[in-house]
Amino acid sequence: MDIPRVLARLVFLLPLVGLCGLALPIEGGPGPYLVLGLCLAWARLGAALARRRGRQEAVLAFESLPFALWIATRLSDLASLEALVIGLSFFAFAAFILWAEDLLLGQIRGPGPVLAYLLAASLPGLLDLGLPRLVLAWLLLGTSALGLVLAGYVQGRRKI
Amino acid sequence: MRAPSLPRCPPTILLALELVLLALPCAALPGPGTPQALTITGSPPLAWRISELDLEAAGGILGQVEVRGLAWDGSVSVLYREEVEAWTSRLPIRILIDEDLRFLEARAEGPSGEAQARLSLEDGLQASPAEPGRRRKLEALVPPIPRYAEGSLPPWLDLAPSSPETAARDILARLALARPPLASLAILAALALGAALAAGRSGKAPGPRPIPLPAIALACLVVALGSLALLPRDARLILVDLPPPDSLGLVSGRLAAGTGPGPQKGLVRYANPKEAGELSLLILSTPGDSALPLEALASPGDDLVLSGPLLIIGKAGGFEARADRALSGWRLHGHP
Repeated sequence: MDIPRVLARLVFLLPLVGLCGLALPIEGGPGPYLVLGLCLAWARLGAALARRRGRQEAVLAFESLPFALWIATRLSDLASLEALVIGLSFFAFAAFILWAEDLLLGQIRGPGPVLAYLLAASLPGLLDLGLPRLVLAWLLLGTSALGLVLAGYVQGRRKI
Repeated sequence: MRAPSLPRCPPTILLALELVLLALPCAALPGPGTPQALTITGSPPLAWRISELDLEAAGGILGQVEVRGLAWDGSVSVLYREEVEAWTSRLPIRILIDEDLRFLEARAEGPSGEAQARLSLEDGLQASPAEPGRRRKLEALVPPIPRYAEGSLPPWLDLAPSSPETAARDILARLALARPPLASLAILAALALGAALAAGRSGKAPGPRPIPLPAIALACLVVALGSLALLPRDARLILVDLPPPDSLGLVSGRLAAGTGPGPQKGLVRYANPKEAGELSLLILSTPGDSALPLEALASPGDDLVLSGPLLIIGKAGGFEARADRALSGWRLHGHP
């Protein structure tokens, strides 16, 4: 057993458990997109600090997703399945941002991409588009899926 | 063969690109359609009261109906929603009118397209017929900061002599002291522990093959659904009937919990049958898709001062009350 890795992962996940314990549904709490954005940015930051990319970064993002969904659901009136749709759409969006960064940057270059990711990921929560949440979720999912397909195509062409 | 190096760009350009990406969903929004004739009729709406209005459309109403309220500060809130499944030319609706509302905007789908209407409340609410004393009382009522009251509730509440506002704050603090959903949290804590142990095991060289990514994703989704399933998601309405105030305006006494007149799921009522005042503290939470019958919230003639907008859902058999978040407020008993 690699004890330092166990401890490092606990340092990453225990703050999320603590946040879940503290999350009390009160009036005026943050919206689900802001919560999801912050949790996925936390995963991104954890991966950047550990100098991990690719698979390990995806593992951290997946592991933080249940916590993000839990907090987002607890702080709002979301139903469980509604939260899952919003969470998955946001996850696809976050994956697309990462893929776009890989294409444009090639590798991690300091804290700039993490900050850019944090801002971009939080924006759907800050913008008041006046849309029903699920409409925004489906739009995000569609846009992200299209972006992922395009990014995959471009990456494939570059490797030829 | 080594792959050619990828072009690089500074984070500012990257941020700009990501902002453009975020704007894409906005461009996909449908534009405004051609509005059809729709009218809002009924008796003049009164502030703080649930108004009985009608929507009438020349081409009929069938499909989604939504009424929004525009306040003086520009904020917009959805006040009524219904999915009309059978064609009708006139649809009865219920709206809780806040004193800060300036307009009501209604949209209704029909066989001939979407119809829209706007009702100005600027003059109507100023001419509210509530008697001056009652109106002053309503204007002075400030809803306490809402909090969810989950879990088991105390069998009674002891009120020390205090003003209704102070009593409300004390009551909310006591009702919201329920334990957090420990079973749900335990699942998440188990995930954290399991993930840490798996990371430690896979980090040992030469170790076993890493767990496939789809398996990790599936496991995380199952954990997420399991923890969400254990979250309390039932609608709850707590009414605390305050005793009549003494000569100093203070309320005190012991209030016992009950279900109130007519057993209703989700309704808990604290009251002293010997001393019934005209003011009740109201706490409403409707997480998820849950809702409560509208009549549980207010009887005809009651006035409501709430901490936020109340969404009323029209159903085939009546009306339901729902709140985007926890709501608190006051119910001033009255006469129809």
